[in-house]
Amino acid sequence: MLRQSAIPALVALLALLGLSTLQGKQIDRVRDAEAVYRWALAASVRYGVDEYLLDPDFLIEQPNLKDDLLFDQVLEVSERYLPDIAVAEGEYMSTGEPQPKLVRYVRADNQDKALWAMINDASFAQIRRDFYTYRRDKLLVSVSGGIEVSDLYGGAEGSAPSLSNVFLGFRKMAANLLWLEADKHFHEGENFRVIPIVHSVVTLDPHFVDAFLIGAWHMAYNATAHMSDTPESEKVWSEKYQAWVGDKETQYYEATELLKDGINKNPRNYKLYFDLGFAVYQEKLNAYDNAVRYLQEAIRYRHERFVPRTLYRAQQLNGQYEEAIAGWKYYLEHYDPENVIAQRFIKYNEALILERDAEKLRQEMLPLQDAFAQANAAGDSATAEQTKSQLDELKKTRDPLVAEARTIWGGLVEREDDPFSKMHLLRLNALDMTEEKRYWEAVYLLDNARYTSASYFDELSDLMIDIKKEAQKNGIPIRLTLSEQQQVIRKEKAAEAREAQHKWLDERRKKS
Amino acid sequence: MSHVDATFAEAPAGKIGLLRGPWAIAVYTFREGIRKKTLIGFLILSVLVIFGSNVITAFLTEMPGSSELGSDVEAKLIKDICITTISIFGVLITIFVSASVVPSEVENKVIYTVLSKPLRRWQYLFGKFLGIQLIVILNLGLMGFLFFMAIYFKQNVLPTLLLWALLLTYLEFLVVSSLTFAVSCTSSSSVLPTISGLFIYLVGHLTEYLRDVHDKSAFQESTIDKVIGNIAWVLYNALPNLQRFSMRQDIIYLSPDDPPKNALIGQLLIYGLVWAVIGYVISFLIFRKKEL
Repeated sequence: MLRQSAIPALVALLALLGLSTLQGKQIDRVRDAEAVYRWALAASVRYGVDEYLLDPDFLIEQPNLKDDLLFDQVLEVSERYLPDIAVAEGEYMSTGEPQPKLVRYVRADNQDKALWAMINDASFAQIRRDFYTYRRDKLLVSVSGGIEVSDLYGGAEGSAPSLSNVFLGFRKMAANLLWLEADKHFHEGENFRVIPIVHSVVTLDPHFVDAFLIGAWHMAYNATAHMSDTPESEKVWSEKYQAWVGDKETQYYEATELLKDGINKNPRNYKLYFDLGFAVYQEKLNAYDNAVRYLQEAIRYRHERFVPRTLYRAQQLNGQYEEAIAGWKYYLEHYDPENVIAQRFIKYNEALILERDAEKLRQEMLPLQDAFAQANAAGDSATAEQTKSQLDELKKTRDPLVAEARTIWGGLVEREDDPFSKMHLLRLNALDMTEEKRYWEAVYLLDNARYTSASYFDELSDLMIDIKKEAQKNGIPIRLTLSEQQQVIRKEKAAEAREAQHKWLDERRKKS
Repeated sequence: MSHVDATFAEAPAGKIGLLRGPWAIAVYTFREGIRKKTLIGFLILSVLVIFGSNVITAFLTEMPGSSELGSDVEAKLIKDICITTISIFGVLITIFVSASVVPSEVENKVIYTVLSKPLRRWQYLFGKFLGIQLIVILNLGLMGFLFFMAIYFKQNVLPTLLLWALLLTYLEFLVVSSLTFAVSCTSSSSVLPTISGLFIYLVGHLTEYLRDVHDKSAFQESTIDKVIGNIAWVLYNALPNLQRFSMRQDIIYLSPDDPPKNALIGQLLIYGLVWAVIGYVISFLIFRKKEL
């Protein structure tokens, strides 16, 4: 057996150790660049939706954060580095300007390689260094993904190991086991135990999308199922959510925070945007503008067919009838030309546009009616005549709109016995009766209607109260019931509370 | 051994091809290795866990209407359980095989017969190392195939990104096996190398912590803390860092053309191969002087 000198082997070993060190550094560089890349992606998506990274009111309390500063630098470099691309529909800011190039690139298909090349370019070196420094110093709150144990165990003085290392790389398995635990608590009815476990699960596994979804569902639906509504005057200002909250609202906003965190970590998963827009903002917070915003974001990514349908419905609720009609027509053209529901919703929105325009005219008529009555009482026939002719003009414009709306609603009721159409038809009839001073008939009509269609009970009850008040103003003694009086008081108190809340906020902003 | 004898019998006296000898060693190592009861036991356990993952997830809560919405909590749990199972049992198989191939031959004196052939020690070691890798690849391939099938039956899609996860898993095993193999060359019993292999695996996953220690030492004022930080930095760069392969857990959830993933896979491949060679060179340096 021949023996060889060890020196070449030793030299080779040292060379290989050196190579492994260099290669390790190269891998670390790529991983660090990956962190910047994923943050830029998530921040761009967030900026595209909200038009800011961090809420300006939140920044009042946390002025040291560097998210906006760093993102502005990223936008500046990307404007120079990235080639121009066309501005697609829906890629404009609320000011009318096109969205930043980076945001459009992130939303476009097949541009990830260009973004990655930009992140690794020399022109981005200073931004990468700043990112690592700010992240290390905990000055970035919009950072996505990863596990930073100092968030859990304390500040820079602590020397706890990374959670990822503690589980020897099996943190996903740890997250799954915790998830099974959370599921067990849910089945036992212990919803409040579920929520902290969900936070741990998503910390361990930031890509566990269903944990975000189901966790938010627990917060917004299950945890609040047995809670009472908090009166407006008893709500408190939440610095965390930048909103006035009671018990239920706290849970709703917790759900939104969880879903937004999920979006930061999984910026291209439509389910998170969908649940945030529909399940929480629309169904629980009744914030239809935010619902539309997030549902519009959801359809930018690969999604199921119900997502655009939900968006069009949210647009309808938000008063964006024209956009809703365009959406439903697009749906019929591209998905299912025979879809009965889409056709019905187009009719809904057409009728709602007519009702909206008619209502605008009615509002214009109200002061003129008062002026006419005053002119008559004062014996000023010239003014009365002038006012009457203005009223007649407005009525001539309004009446066809109402008639057309009535035709649409009537047609839907006749063909499909649709409750929504029925409610609107009854509403129109009640308003007509009110105009003709047939207050008793209007009230009787609405009283019957609200019990046949429970979904619209509140809306029709409120209309009844308005008609009764108008009747009282005109000298017809229709009394409000006890519950109606309580409703009026509740609304007045709520309005007073909201006014006080606005004043408080304005003063706070002025002070800052 | 008959394969080895046949190989050497065919060769002209004193001459054997550079790779022919190692290949013969590798083949007989592979054949002996796959017959070991411990290996078969690990494999059966991993199969049971992979298929048992369906049972674990069967009673999970889903959101109302989520079956229509396509909730994939079950599939996600199955994927994670399978990846973890492959990792755990795979590394146990790797350590066990790597720790035992050389010591068992020393213990039962077969090594004298093999080394009496016109074969250099580096060729013998290379053949053994290759044989270990063949066993690991076979086991990984079997478990991966079962995982593939489990997901296919669940979701009716072929999880092609799983192949990248398996590659990264193999690279991690390659590093562990090469260093364990190096330790096994010092010992005539497989106990010490097995324990060392587990230790190497643990240390490999805790190496990332040394980076945190170095970063945090920058905030300390004490000289001792700064010295510790520097030592941590040296160790961080010198030791193998198995956490770098942790992307295998996330890779099946990424898009197929995710740029960081594509950039990292090539780098990790080089990293794994470099450490494999390091382990082999260390084992050569130890074995060349070993008195047998």
